[in-house]
Amino acid sequence: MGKKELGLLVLVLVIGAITTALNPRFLSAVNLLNMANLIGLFGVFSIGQGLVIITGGIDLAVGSIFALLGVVFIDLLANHDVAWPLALLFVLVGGLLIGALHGLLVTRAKLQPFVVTLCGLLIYRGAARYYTGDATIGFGYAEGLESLTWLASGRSFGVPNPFLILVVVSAVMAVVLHRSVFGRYLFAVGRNEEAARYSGIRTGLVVAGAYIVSGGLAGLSTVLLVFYTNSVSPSAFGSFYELYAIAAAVLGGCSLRGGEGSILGIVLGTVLLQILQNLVNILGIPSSLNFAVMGGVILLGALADQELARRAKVGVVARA
Amino acid sequence: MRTSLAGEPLLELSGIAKRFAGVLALSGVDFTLRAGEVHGLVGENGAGKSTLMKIIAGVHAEYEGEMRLDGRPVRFRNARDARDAGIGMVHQELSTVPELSVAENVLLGAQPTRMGVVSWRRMRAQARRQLDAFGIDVDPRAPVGSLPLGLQQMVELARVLLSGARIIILDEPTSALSPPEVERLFALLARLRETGRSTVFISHFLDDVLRVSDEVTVFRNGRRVEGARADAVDKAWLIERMVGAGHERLGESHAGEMRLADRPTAPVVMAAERLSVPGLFEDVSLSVYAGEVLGIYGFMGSGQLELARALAGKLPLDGGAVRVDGQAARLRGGTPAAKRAGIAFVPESRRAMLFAQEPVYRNISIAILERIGRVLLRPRAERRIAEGHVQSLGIRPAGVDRPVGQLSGGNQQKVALARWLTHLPRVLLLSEPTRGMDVGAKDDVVRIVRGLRDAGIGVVVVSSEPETVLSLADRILVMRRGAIAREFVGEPVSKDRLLAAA
Ligand SMILES: Nc1ncnc2c1ncn2[C@@H]1O[C@H](COP(=O)(O)OP(=O)(O)OP(=O)(O)O)[C@@H](O)[C@H]1O
Ligand SMILES: [Mg+2]
Repeated sequence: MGKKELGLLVLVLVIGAITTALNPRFLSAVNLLNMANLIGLFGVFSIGQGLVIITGGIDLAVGSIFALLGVVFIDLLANHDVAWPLALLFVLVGGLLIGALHGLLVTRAKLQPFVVTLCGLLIYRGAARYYTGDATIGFGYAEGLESLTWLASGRSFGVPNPFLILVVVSAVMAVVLHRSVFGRYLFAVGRNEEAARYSGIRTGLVVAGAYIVSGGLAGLSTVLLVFYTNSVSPSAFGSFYELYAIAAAVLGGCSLRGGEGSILGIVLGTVLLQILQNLVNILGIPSSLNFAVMGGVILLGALADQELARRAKVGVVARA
Repeated sequence: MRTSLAGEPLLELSGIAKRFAGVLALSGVDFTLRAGEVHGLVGENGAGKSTLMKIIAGVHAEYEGEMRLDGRPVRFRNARDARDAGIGMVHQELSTVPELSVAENVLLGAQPTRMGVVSWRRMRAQARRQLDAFGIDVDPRAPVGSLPLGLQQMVELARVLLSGARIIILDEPTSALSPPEVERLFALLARLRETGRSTVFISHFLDDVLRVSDEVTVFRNGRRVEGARADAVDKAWLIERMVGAGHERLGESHAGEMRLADRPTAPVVMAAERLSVPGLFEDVSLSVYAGEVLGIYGFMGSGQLELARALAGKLPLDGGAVRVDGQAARLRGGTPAAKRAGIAFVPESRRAMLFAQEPVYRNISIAILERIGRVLLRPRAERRIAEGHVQSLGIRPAGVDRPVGQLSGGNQQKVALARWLTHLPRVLLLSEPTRGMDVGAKDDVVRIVRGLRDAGIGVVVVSSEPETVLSLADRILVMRRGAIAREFVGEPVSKDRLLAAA
């Protein structure tokens, strides 16, 4: 565990302790399980976001991808009697394809990631709303979904499945990012793309890979989120979630300049964000202040990080 | 040139020590710079020259010891403080901002403004004047990153030399310049000296140092060894003090003639036919034989660096074909495609090639990760391989876990080279391979390159330093204005003949 992750862990514990002191209900089983569930839901796609950020890019489209894939997913199940494994596959592949499209536009057409995914954000949201005529869509009388419902929103050993899924996803992604050749390439591209190319790395493939992973994880998250809300209203479903993901990644030590970050950090970032949300609810702070609290803490975190970096500057390579 | 006697001490440093993460880079250094003198600084790679100068220029704010300017103690917290005190520095690794235009770079930090808004027109005009004063002919609007390294260095020199600084520090300013450009720089230095400015001149070209300096100081292992008036000492004196007693290594002198090998009978590994990139070079054909070192020499701007970049897939070719072992190499896919075709490239700019914050071993292993372990990393193997190269190349400090950005310039260059030594490519293109290296390190490179040649690969050395080509090559091509002007093979050659052909 690096210094950043350790600092974040301490922060999580401190804020948790303060909240507990103010309201002991924070540590109640119900509250903890509820938080674990939300951490699972938000963690999965934040990891994808983190990968993209490590390459020096950004993925603004995830929230809208949830809406588009979400309405299609429910429509397949509720109105077209598609078997759930097929619908699940459809959503996962859909996510991967959207990611691949973003990757292509960024690496082949050389568009800026911000522009590509901003357009995605607008287009997918619009498409989702058009698909249902702006109406909320639910499962209605769809049958045979018990096992999928359980998978996506049930519990195993008393722990919410989304949390367990996050554990598995982070374990796999930790290997990918920190123990695999591809992971090393991701950092290399984020640190110095030209040097990466000089080293013989096919940087286009690597960057596209990050968007594909992000898209795939967004597909997986869609399913989890759909079963969390049980219905999708295309104008609101998942909106702003890309910002949660970016916030979690940045809190977790990813630099928007690229080349920095870790899976553990991103997960801890997600945990911290959820604790903050929870703190707002449980301390009776008006929920309208929700975003303000979040923004404030991220700002403080960024400032503290700068300060630490400045002090730890033992041998910084002078701009040379 | 050494008529005016240097004046009062302008800048005095005493007892300077500098540690990087506990490791001493400088200790107990005294250094005096007088008004109106050119002060030459020499020492092996890693001796601490750049570090001392960065302290003076405010880049390193943490150090022990005292610095006096005009007799008053000063302590700079950052480069801006130093600049405000009249100190300007040209860094060894260029510090121009590649994305900004030439004009912006020349006037960086001193942009002319009109009512608080940058006036682009005045900025371009002023930059133009400064560049003209230095005899540089470039479009002030062009992004600096698009210029060849030599011109980038000229732009940076123009920025610092004409900024009005009283103390000018030049850390290896000539390494990317052509002989005429070097002459222009020296003439300008002489003029600045007349006006009472002081210059510190760091270079591994000892002849140059002796020629332009009034005073020389030798560094070794973070200490000041000795200083002397430049006209009282010679090159051998300097080298003796640079390398220390015991292991004197004198770089081969190439003033005399040497005989090149005959044309090899080995098979051709790389054949390039009628290569062209408009405006840079035209209709260039060449063959590289297995087990030979082909040197390509030319003045800066003659197209040889660009030719190497094109062969490496870095610069798109407009016409022509390249074959490696008889197979057409598809260079459209850029450097990664060239690597797959068997062509490896070490560019002249380290900044472009290395990951400064990453440890040495990762910089070495990055090109062979897929060979060490197909999918998963094997850090222990990576480290072991890197340790082997660090040993055999004499990279100092010898650890593999230090960020490569903390190594001295010459050692960084060795790391860049080490990247291609594990799994040999068919052809290795080296652009200015000994730039910024001390005498000993240059010998190391000669040894490494000969080793590679004997292993049967084709090595191409591209340089605008005659010494580099002469010390490495078995066969030499000379380029002039984007075309091959002459081939030297199986005949005597000397620096004079090369220069005459270029
Ligand atoms: N930012 C840094 N962090 C840690 N160590 C450093 C840093 N900069 C330099 N060093 C170390 O300090 C020593 C002196 O380096 P310096 O760059 O001053 O050498 P130099 O004399 O300029 O050599 P060269 O001729 O190769 O440029 C080296 O051992 C180098 O590794
Ligand atoms: Mg140096």
